[in-house]
Amino acid sequence: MRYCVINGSPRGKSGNTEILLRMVMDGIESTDNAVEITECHLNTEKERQFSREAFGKAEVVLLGFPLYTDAMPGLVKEFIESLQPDVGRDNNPKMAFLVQSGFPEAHHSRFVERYLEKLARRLNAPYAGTIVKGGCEGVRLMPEEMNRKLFEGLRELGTDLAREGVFNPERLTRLAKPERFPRFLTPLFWLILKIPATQIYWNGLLKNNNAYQDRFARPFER
Amino acid sequence: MKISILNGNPSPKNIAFDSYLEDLQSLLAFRGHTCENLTLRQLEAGYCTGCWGCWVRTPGKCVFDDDSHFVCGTVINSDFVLCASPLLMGYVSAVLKKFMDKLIPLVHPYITVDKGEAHHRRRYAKTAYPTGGLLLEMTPDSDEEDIAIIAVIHARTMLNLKSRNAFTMLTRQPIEEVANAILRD
Repeated sequence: MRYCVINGSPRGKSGNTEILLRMVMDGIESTDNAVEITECHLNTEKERQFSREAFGKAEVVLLGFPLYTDAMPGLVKEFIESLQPDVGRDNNPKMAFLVQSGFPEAHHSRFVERYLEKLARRLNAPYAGTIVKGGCEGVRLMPEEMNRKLFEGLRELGTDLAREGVFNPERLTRLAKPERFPRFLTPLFWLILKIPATQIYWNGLLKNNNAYQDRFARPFER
Repeated sequence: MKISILNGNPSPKNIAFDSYLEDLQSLLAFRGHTCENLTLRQLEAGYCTGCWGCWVRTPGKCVFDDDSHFVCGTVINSDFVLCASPLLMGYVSAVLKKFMDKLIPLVHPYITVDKGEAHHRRRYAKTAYPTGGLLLEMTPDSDEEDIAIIAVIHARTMLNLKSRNAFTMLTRQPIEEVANAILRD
C-alpha cells in the first residue's frame, strides 16, 4: 500500500505534529503488509508542490496539522485549494487526518473535523477518520515516559489504518480524552489558573527573551 | 460605528466579489459610518510560522514586520469586522485564513476559562474586541452543508477573539441586508 503522510505544521519537522505523525507511521509500518510511505511537508512552496504530486500517486493520504484559529493553518488551506482539479475524479486516495491542538480539550478541534470529513466526500475519497488530540503543545518537550500512553495510542491507530483501512472509532474516542471539562469544574479551573505556576511555560519563554515586563503590551491601542 | 472588511478574494478576476464589497463600503459610509475595506491579496505577509514570537518576543505583534501589523491594528480598533471570501474547497480562501491566523497577537498566551472551556486570555480591554460577521460567495461546488460547517467554525474563532459572530450571510443576498445586519449590532 502506498501512503503519503503530509505534515501541515508551519513548524515543519521541528513541531509536535511531526512527532505524532511519526508514531502513526510506526504503527502502519509495524504490520506485515508491504507499505511504502512518502513523507511530505507544507511549509515551503517547493514542499507544497512535492506534496501535491505525492498526493496524486498515493493510495492513502494522512494529513496532519495543528489547530490554528479553530481550523487548518493558512498554508494547509492553500494546499487544499491546490486539490481543486481532483474534485469529481474517481480514483482519489483514501483520506485520514490528524488534528492536534494546544488547548487541553479535544472539543476545540471537532468543528474542523466536520470540514475534513466533508473534504473527503468532496474529493469522492473514502474517509478513514480523524485523530483528534488536545494538550499537545508540550509533546516535544516532555520526557518519553509522559508521552508513552499517547504514543502507544497513536501506534495502535496506525496499525488499525494499515490492517482495517480505517481508524478504530473507539480508540479515537479514548485517545481524544478529555473531550470537554464538566461545567462544575469551572470554579476549580479558575482557582488553578490563579497559581502562577500554571503560566510557567509562557513566563519562561518571555523571560528568556527579556519580554516578561512587556507581556501585557497593547501595541495597537489607539 | 467603525467597520472593517477583510476582503479574502484571492483573484482580481472575480470582479463581482470586489464590487459587492465596494458597494457595501459606500452604503455604510453613506449611512454615516467609517468603513475600511482591506483587500488582503494586495497586502504583504507570510504565513504564521508558529514561532509564538508575537506572544513571547514582541508581545502583541508578529515578529515579522509585515502587513499583519496593519490588519491587527485595524481589527482591534473596529466595532465590527466582516470577514469576506468566496468559498474555495468549501472554506474561506487561504489568503483570508492566513490573515486570520495572524490575529493571534490580539490575545494573550495565558489560558483562562470561558464558557467552561480553555481559551486564551484577552490582551486588550473587553470592549476593544469587534463583533464579527462572515460573508461568503457560493461557488458551483459548494452547498448549504459547507455554509453550516464554516459558520460554526467562524463562531468559534470569534469566541477565541473574545467576541461573537453576529451572522453568516451570502453575497447572493442584497447589499442592503448585509449592511442592515452589520448596523443592527
